[in-house]
Amino acid sequence: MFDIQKSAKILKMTFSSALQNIDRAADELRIFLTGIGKKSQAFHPLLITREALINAITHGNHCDEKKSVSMSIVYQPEQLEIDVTDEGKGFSWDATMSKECDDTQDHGRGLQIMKLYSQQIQYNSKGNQVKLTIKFPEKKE
Amino acid sequence: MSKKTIAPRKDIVASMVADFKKELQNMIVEEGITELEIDLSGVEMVDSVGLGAFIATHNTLSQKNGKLTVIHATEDIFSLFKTMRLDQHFEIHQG
Repeated sequence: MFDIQKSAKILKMTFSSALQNIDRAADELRIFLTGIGKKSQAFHPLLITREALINAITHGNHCDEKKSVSMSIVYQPEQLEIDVTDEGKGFSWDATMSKECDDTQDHGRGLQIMKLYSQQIQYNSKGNQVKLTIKFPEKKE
Repeated sequence: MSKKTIAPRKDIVASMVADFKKELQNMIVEEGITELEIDLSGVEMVDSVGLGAFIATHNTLSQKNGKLTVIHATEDIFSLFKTMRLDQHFEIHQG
């Protein structure tokens, strides 16, 4: 399942919890960013969106394809607001966020990447919804 | 020392990492590769799961006194590797 609604400044998608759907969502986001004139600044929005979706699908919904992930992206000049919600039980985001990443481990970098590359990261109290804000630096296309 | 260069030519992201890691582990374990060079030409994105594949490969090679080198990373990917301190574990070259 992959549903999509889009307008010039809003992109909404709901899809089943398959990792391949992250690639499809990223493709749609790349098209959206091109449409708002931000093609050359797409890397960081694409990266943090992928991280939020990886967490939602793997940790939130445990790759259960019967469960879906909803995301919305709103462009407000000059920033993007990214909202990702899963059907999972949530997690103790405050404890996880304060943990240091172990450089020798082959996992555990997703949250750190979201923190580093977004201006704001906010979870709901349950921990199954994340809102990310990323600002575009001054740069002419 | 047995050396090999591979070029995945697609983004190194969650959906493909399981197969990619298997391929790399096979090269090290089955083929006996100890110096592995990964050419990122044509790769536009590496996510956290992809970064994990590089660390896992580096860890396996280190156990065999081997070496991982990453070449032709885009400016964005090079910057991500440095920000995440992967450059402290193995060599990464831009361009």
